[in-house]
Amino acid sequence: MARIKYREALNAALREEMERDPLVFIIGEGIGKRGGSYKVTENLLAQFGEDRVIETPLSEASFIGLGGGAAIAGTRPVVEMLFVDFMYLTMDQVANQIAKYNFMTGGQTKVPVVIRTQGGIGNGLAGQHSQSLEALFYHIPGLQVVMPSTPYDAKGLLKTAIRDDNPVIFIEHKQLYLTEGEVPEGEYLIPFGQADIKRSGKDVTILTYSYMTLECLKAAELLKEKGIDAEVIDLRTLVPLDEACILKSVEKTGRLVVVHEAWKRGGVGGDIISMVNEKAFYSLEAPPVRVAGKNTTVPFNKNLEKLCVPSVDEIVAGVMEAING
Amino acid sequence: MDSNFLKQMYETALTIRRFEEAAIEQYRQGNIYGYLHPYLGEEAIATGAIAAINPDDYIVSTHRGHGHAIAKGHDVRLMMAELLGKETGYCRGRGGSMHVANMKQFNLGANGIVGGGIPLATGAGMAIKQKKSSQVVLCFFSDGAVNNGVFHESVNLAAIYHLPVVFIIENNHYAASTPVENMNLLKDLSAHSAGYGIPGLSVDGNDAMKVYNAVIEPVKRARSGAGPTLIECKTYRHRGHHVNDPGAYMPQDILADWKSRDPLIVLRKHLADATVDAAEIKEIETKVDTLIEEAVKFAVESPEPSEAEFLNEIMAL
Amino acid sequence: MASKVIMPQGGQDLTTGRVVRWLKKEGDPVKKGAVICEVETEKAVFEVSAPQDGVLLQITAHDGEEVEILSTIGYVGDLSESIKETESKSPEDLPKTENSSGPETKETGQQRVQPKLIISPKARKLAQDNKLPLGSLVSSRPDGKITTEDVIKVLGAVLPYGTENDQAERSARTITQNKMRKTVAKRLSQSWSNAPHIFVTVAVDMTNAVSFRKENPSMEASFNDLVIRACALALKIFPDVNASYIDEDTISLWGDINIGVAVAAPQGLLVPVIEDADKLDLREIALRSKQIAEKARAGKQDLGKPSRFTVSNLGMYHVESFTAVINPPESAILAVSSIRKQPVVINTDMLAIRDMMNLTLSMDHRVGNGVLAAEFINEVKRLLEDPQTLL
Repeated sequence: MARIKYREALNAALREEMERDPLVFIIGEGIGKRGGSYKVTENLLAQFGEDRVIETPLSEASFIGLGGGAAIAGTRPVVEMLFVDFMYLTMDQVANQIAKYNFMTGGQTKVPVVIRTQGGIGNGLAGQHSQSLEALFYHIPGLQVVMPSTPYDAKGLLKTAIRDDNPVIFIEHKQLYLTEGEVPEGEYLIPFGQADIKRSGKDVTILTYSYMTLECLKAAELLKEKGIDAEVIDLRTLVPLDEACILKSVEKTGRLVVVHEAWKRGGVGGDIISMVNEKAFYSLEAPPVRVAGKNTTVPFNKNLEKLCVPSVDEIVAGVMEAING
Repeated sequence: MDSNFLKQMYETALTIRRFEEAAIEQYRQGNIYGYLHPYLGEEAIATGAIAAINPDDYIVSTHRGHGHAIAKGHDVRLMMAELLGKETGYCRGRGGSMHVANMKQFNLGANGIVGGGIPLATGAGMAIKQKKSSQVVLCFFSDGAVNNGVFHESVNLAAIYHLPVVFIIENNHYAASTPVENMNLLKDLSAHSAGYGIPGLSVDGNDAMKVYNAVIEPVKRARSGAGPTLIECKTYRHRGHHVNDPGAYMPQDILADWKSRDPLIVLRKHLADATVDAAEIKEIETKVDTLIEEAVKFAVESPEPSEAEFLNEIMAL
Repeated sequence: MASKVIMPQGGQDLTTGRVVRWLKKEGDPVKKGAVICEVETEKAVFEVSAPQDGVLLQITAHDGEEVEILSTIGYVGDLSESIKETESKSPEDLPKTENSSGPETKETGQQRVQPKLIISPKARKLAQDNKLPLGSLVSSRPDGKITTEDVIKVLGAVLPYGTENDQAERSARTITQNKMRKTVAKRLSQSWSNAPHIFVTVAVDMTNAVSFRKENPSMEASFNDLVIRACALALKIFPDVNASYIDEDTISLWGDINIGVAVAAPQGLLVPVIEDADKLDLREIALRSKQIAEKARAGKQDLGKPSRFTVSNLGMYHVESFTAVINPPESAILAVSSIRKQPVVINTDMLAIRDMMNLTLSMDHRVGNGVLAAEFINEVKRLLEDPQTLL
């Protein structure tokens, strides 16, 4: 076991997969000498050379499409999109081409492309560099959506993503890159569709993912002092979703709170709660609660910025609503 | 010019012509629905260009993609079945006219988004480079696509990475009903090549031999690792943009002029020059007619995809 | 139209009155004329009745408060009526969302539509699964919402039935009941009307049992303990008696043998349970029955396994015989009467004075017939008449 940073875990995953499979290559802006804006691809250029660590011009739509085409033609590209906010520029290639290719050709093609990107607030980067856009990709059939919250999860899930034959949107969080966690030395993979119960409890189910997992765990400690035993489930992959884990927890606790940084309206939380209503309505003791980002563009000012996403106190309040509901 | 080679080209172009005519007929009868964009009048481009590549070289095409598929050697029965949405089609009825593809024959597919296939072609070029293979990619797209951002980005990427892609503009002078000269100040769209530092050339797209000759060198160049070329083939549709578009915006005199240089007429002239006689030509024509008849019969008689199976497939997702 | 509940006029020269206690909570249904509050003036204590049928919508003067005569102390009306400004609005009143392109930071559409009965899906299902009328449920919360705990309280005045839902709640918990008698009455009348009772009586010769007890004082086994032990053994042999009628297609045969022992507690009838009685020997049963009886008399209950068969003993009250009402969802109950010296015929034609005790088995005829009842009770008799078998 070693205690490493989230970005180092990603780096290790990339390195190991590139060593293992010569068809894996990485492509993106500034990923070469500089090692990437968040240092995830550090030292990979030195080890694998320019042929497999490819820097791009600011041509987002086309280099994402290039990743798709390269995947269709038999290689395993990992494309880095520096900010998830830039994914808007690539939507035809992602949604109309990559997501649909296998289906429209009647199953003729694997499209094993991984698009690695990052989002979320932090550091006052303002409205166009602080978004959480997983709901867009969650909605489109043909895409898998992965959002790890710890170094352990990041490494295991990225390796799985690279080996997966279907497209993956792998969304990291800018505030997670420097967080640390225990990661085993040897090889391990984490399957998609397997949520992780980060904290077991019996009074209320808190469903969350990415950076908010950390906030929910902090909230759980505060709730413990109030005598409330919260179960915190990190979904890890939104598509495929671990429905069984969610339903089992709701049967146990009867109370559900979904927490995400993304905007509340049309966010993934609403869809998950609908699923719970459909399948576990009669296990509910109280209406499910969403604690989510406010429906606004994120402002630059860092105090205002913080108000736009769930805080630990808001999460606690949300849980109390579910407890007293 | 080798007469067998010419006869092969003629057969290809004629197959495309007859296939498209049959498809239109099927559309009129209601067996094909949705969109159908006939390649009538443009046959020389697919025929000439694809004659210049190997069976394991890739092609990427457009919404008007039947011609390229046929030139790549696809089974017209399976193609027609796909147009009719049948289970026996290349894409099991899930793609239709605009998404016909056959990975086994290295056809990455027609595409319903104008310009949508260009980045994919660039990607295929990158895959070839990664695998250190000597394949090339022919990327076909329209004059309309040249106005789209991804065209410029993708050609630039292929240029800076020296990818083995030959980009072929099929300039049929209209993007749907929009004349090309209204949307571009450049007369020769291949002049864009200068913007990426790669060679470019424009050629008569109604003469399959001229197209063939124009593509040969760029394909060699690509295979050698020297990178992409931008080729413009000038041509003209015989009809409107899609099967229900009468093409009222196409001036009659210009159309007549282009029709007098119909790719089939041009090829027949080449055949005559190579002393191929009328009987041999008739033989080809009969062969093609039979082939297309069979294709239609096969498609019409093929089963629809099973709904239960489809639901099962999608429920698992 | 909601009606006011007022502090009544108690006398000509009185200006104020005091609310002693409300007998109903906000959200409780009330009937016109029923007493809902007690108030006190200098002169006397008065009962205040509900002015109309409906629900006690609001209490404005709470227990202990002093208010002016004739002032409002509460409101009674339909649940859909509202008195408070902030009560739920009809859908037309919900605020419209902003159409501007600016940032939308207010929470809009926050109000929920209030139903007549506020009950969680889980609680509602539990109630319906156990055929409990929703109207019989009483909320323990200030907002009147019915919770699963409220349903469990009613279902098992002493113990829950053991529906599929609450297998997780089996850890020992102590509950004290305050509406117990009401619930017992409800359940027993349900049992009486739903289960067709048949009764089979035998006269048991307890002479040997009397000697047995004298010879084994250290056992500290009461006659009832002997009966319990005998029943446990008999239930093993006749598992069809250890059953419950579920519906017209289903009878559940239980795997465990838990025997309920009816105990008279200060607040009423309690039936604590000896769990897995078949696995306990006589001494252990004697010990256990003492323990549970003590607890029951103190008014406390354990939430453990549910009873499968009940023994009700009125022997200490000098009764010749009696019949008992089956304790639902069980299918049988044994009524144990007093041991009395009686002349009986033995050895076909000799008279003797023997210690005789009547046992009457009540059985749910949907689960078993007269033959089963007779066989079962005869086995109990056989065991009691040969007490060594009970060890």
